[in-house]
Amino acid sequence: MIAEDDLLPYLRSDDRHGQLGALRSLKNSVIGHSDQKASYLDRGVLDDLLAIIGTPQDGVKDPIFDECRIQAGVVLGSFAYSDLEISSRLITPATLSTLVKVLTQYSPPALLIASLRTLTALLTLRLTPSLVQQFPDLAKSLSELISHYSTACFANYARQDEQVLTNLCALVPLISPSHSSAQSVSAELTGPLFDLVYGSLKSSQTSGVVFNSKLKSTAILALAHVLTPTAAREIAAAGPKFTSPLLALLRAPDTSTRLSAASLLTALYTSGKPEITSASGVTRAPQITTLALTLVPTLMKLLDDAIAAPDQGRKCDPRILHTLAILCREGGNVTDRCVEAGLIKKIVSIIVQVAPNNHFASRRILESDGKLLSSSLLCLSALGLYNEDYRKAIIEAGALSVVVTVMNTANTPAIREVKIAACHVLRTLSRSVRLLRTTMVESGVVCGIVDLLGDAPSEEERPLLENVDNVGSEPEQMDDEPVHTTVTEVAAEEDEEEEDLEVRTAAMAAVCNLVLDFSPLRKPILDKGILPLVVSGARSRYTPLRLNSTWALKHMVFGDDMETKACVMSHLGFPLIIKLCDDKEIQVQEQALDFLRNLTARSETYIDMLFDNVGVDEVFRLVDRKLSLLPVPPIDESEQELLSTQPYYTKVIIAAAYIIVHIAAGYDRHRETVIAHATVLRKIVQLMRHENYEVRLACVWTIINLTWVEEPNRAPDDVATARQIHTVSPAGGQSSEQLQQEQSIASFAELYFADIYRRRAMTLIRLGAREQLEYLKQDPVLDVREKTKTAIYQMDSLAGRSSPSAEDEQDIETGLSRGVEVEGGAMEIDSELHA
Amino acid sequence: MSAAASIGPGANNASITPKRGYSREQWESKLDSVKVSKANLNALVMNYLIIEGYQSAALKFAQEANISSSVALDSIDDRMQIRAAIHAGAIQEAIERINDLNPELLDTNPELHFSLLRLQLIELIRKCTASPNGDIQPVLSFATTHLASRAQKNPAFLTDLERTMALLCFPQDNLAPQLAELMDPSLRRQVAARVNEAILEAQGVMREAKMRGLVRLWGWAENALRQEKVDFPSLDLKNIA
Repeated sequence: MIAEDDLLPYLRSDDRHGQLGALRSLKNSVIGHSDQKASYLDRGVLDDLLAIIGTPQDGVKDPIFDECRIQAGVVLGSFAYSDLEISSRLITPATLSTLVKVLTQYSPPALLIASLRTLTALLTLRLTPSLVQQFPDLAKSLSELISHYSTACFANYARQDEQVLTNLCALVPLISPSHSSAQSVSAELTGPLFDLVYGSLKSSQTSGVVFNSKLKSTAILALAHVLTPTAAREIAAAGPKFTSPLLALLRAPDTSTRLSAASLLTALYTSGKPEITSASGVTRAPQITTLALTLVPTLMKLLDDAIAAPDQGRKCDPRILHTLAILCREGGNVTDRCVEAGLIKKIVSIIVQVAPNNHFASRRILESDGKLLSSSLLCLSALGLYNEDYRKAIIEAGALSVVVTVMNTANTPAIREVKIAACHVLRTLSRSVRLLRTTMVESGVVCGIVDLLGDAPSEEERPLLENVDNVGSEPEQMDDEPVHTTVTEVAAEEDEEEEDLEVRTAAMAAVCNLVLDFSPLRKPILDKGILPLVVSGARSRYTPLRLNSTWALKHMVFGDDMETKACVMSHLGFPLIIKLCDDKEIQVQEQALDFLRNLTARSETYIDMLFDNVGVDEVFRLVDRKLSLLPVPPIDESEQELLSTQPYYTKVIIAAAYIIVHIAAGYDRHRETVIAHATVLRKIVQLMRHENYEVRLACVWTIINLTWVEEPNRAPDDVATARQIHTVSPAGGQSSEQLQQEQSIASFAELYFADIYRRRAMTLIRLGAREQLEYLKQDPVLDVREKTKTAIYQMDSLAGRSSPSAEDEQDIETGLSRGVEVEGGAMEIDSELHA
Repeated sequence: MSAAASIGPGANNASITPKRGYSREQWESKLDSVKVSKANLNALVMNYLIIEGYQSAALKFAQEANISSSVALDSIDDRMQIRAAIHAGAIQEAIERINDLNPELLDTNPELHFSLLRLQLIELIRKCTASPNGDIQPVLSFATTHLASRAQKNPAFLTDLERTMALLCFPQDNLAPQLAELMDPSLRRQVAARVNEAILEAQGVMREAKMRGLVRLWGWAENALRQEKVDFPSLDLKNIA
């Protein structure tokens, strides 16, 4: 044994035997001894270790040298498993690249184990956001290693192989922490991980002696992590041969196996829904709810055990709550069971344990604490998604103060994830109009959100520049294989910011409801200068962010607040919004068209502005395109994604139709533009037979507004037009008396407009609107029937048909009092946002 | 409980809820009617041998029962060597072996590391107090370098350390019971058992043989039956040992 003081020179020598001895001594003197570790790090031991680990074997095989690398790897691992002060000194680019290199080259199993352990420890400590992006080959290497060692292990079991496998699986979730990065490694890793899990489930059924439960649970968790919806559906479709042993594991003796099985089953059966499109409008198969109800007790038991532990849940595995959160998003029975079991109170008690009051300001939140906090908050947000009572319970349990504290804490990587989760809670709570108007009047939230949105300054600058020449062109697809160098660079840049994009998407989702016109937070948020951030979000290539930003913009122009509308338009500009109307993503189209619908509601100014900036014909061409939209028919029943996007096609049609309703509610000259565009009118008339009543209703409103008789004093603009015509007309006498002229103008206007109105009615009748209205008299929906009566009365009066009976007149009177009132704007406070 | 006290099911027709009970023969035949597969039994035995550390028996049994060894068989030997070292008081050797087998264990389990270091300290004290003029210096320096800083951070460690150091102050043949415990070889056995469990747990193997769990389950079931006032011959552990 070498004396401890003399170790370092031996490490640096070429004498392999001396080096090995020194490394062994070093190992035994540092393991478990933090003071020794600190002292060696001070003396620069890290570089020595990395040099030894990183020197690859050249040609001749030298077992002593291999052993040196292994021992150096073990020592490095020991540094990684220490106090935060020591281990964080290890997180350097050199360490990460040396360790990744070990994985991508041929390395002895023992060195692999040591390096994987070290990487796992370091990444658990602080997630380096994009390890897979920094090292593009990493996922492929891991995939090959998993395949290789699985095959070896199943053919001829060896403990070391099993250890390599366990450590490989443990690393998978850490290299791809975010949702998008997990999906990006999915193609490489799903296959080998599935084979491994399936093999281990099978072998435990047949031999099942003391099969390592740790390998099984880490492999299952890794598979659950990388699973894409498509892969999940494929595996779930494979049936009980895979799922029944998993269900059996829900009763496994050790907690991590139970948890892993619950989390994989959850991933298998809930990720059936497509990524972007939401589940609204799609009914879940009943067996999924049944399965969820089986999983809830397992998970609640795990949670209860964690809370009953001496630390009262401080060390609770965040994945328990994360899995519960995913299940609770299903709503209905599942959520009810969880709330009945006291989940809301339990979560809040855990939050209080992990982060007591003032904890955020006074101490650093560790990565592990951050994970637990964020999954706790995520679970709360899921619980309140569909139920007002549960939202109330969440508020009463005191969660809002936690959210506010989180939102106002300075950013660290750990706290950022918590902030995202806090955004989800805000979004859930903001679904309640009552809460929005009362409890949520807490401007402390505002700064936090704006900070999160402004977190990524680089993105904020870039799209502004790039948009100038990008208007009207198709946005690049995120997933496309980049072809041009410039595109590659941009894509890489965007990839690096993926984490940021997810943060901003979540924050934007929270913003959406907070900027509605009746929200007391609208003004504070706008005053904080959020608009440029939202507009930049609407320009993002990242679809979820683009969607939520467009959604937020739609809500900002909802209502009669002209000042806000002006402010939004000064930042936004028409080219972008028109581009979004033709977005490749149908949901973005819906939001963009709803934006125009809200913008033009009760606002002649903005109808004019739309016409001036986009061009009248172009506006009608756009609407025409959208009204002609037919959903792609699903190829077969399994095409879930298509089935669930169907409702959005209808929503796009509704939005487009209401733009016409609102234009027709403007001045007479606006109505004239609608009458002049016969193609659009013909579509509207056809759509009066649409299966969706909202579409039919929009069409009837169009007829009502087009047959509305403007009172002269309510439309000075139009009277002026008439006056102009009158003045230039030869029929207008050159009388000298002022009064006479006025009277003449008035009577002329009356005649002039009566003619115009009649022609409008005749045009509509010619297009078949009258027959369609007759048909709608029998509509199953009361609202449609009522509006149809109004429309028929107005149309018949203008066309000079017989007046309806007195009884009808009574009804129509009430109808008329709202006559030209535009049907409200597009505001969906309770809709699903993608986050 | 004696078999004579039991009445066959249905024998007492007079009572509203017939008293259930089983004679030893009935009971045995009931037990025999439960089929346990040979594979499961073998697995149970194998599991016991591995966890309790009977390596050669486990290897033999694996061969005879033709069990494919998807088992941490090769670690049994390592664990037994570590156990032997601790039993012999060779704590430094044990620590080095642990670090070879699982370098993570002592880094992630400070309590276990502390108890090993304290045992090491006790061995030093034992050596120093064995001879009348024993050198106290190694004891003091070991305590200062390795234990003092840990004790500062953890009150439980401090109490343990103080009590251990008190060993230096009293004659070995007349120790208070609390201190005598520390010098007793059973402390080595306790620490060795904890090390064994920790290694097994880190390997993802159950820390306890499945058979022990089954015996407890049996006891629970017997209790439940008794509360239901069912007569049956209870399990005598002596009969199966």
